[in-house]
Amino acid sequence: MKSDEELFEQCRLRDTGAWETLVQRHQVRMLNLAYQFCGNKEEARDLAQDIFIRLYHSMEQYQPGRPFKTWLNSLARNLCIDNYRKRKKDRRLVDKPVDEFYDLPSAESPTDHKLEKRQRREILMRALETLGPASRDAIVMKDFQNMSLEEMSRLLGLPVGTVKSRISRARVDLGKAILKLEGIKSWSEAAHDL
Amino acid sequence: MICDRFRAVLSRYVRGELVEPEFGAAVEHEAICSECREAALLAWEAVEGGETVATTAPLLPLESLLARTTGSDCSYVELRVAEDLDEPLEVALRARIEDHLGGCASCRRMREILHELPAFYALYPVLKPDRAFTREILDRTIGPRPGFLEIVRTLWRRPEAVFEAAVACALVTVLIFGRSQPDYTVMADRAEQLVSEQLQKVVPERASVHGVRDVLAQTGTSVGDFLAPRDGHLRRRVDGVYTSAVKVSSWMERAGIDLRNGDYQALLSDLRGVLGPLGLYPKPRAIGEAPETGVEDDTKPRGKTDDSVPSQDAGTR
Ligand SMILES: [Zn+2]
Ligand SMILES: [Zn+2]
Repeated sequence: MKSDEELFEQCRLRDTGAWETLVQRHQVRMLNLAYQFCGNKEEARDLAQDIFIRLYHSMEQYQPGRPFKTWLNSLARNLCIDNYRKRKKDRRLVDKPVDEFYDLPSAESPTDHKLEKRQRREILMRALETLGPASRDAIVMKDFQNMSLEEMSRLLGLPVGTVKSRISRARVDLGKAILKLEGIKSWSEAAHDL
Repeated sequence: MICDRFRAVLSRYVRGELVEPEFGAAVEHEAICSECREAALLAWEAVEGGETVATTAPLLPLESLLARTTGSDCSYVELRVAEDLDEPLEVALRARIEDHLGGCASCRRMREILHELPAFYALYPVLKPDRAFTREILDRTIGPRPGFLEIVRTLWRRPEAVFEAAVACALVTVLIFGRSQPDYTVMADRAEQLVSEQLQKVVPERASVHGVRDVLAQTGTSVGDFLAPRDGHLRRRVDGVYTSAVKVSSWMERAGIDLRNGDYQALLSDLRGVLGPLGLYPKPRAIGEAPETGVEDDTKPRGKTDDSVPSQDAGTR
């Protein structure tokens, strides 16, 4: 199997087959990365496609020998974070719901395992939406994409220590948001019981 | 990289002025050397005071928090508990944290939720790209892949049109007749190769490729069997296709679309549409039946023949 770097080099020579292979190899990860950033399927689709289009047009700037994954990650992350910032700004005007979001409190039986899973997923997605761009970035890169601190440090151009504290801060913020949303849920459940 | 070297590049490092390969080496050294990490953090704070990327809620550098607290502050404890998820805290620090947790329900709840995070993450839906997703990316970068139409158009546009057109006709011939005509072997081989390549591109599943090719080959064989002893007749027929280049071209377009859509019924109907009037479409005949004779006469009315083939079964095989 050809390495990403070899394929990308072939793409620069206008080898369309190499490009197709590269797209197929990375599309799942890029689609999900975009989705983890924006929480909306339609938007993730557009965003992931934009990543590949940007990648395609960035071929000339790519320095052969540089790891392809770093190149792709930094390009993808920049687009995702830009989109996230823009969306946060827009959302102040229009409150656009994230995927799978139904009313958090539910009158249905709380013993229903599936329901609980769904509620927890909704809480997670809502909580992620409350994070600032730097925190969302840290959570997606570290906890969803399993990037190492060194990779993140290179990507963000920040010292490892700063990356670490950013991750901790992001997790605490996320934890707080989850606790708050769970509080709303349990309060409402208690209200139902009355 | 060694410590001395790291200290030498430190100020450029924290200002973001370092480039590869030095930047990478500095990052790697910082990851393994706690003293240099500490030094980088201090230098970093001196330069930036924490954040470079604008965020809605600026981060407070952990170490400056440490300087301002005695370790009993909840926000300090929360951050340390979050850090503990990746890397166990030093023994002394951990003892102080545990002390605080023992008396602080809100920090205990925070620790619980932090430990639950991986379980929460596992609930995040995973998306799978569909074929249209990939298709759109390819269309928006390398453009749509060439279909029959593009190939035929290219052939026709070039000056060596006569030969090219003959190849294009052979393409049609091969589609209809399979490879049963020895006189056309060389051209047919080349054409079949082209057709095969095209089919593989436009019809993603190999099974469908073989499916459609089987249908076409079978149709071709039946016509070929019938026409084989009358080579001159076949030539006239192919010439007929050649002179109808425009018709064939537009048929190619439709055939290309049909193939892309995987609509083989429509493809066969298009075949009939263009080849029928030229008398090139096969007569109705069950597979394995003896070849018919005496229908090669150009003056013979064709309408009946044209509409009755192929059978519905042929298209869906
Ligand atoms: Zn050192
Ligand atoms: Zn506390």
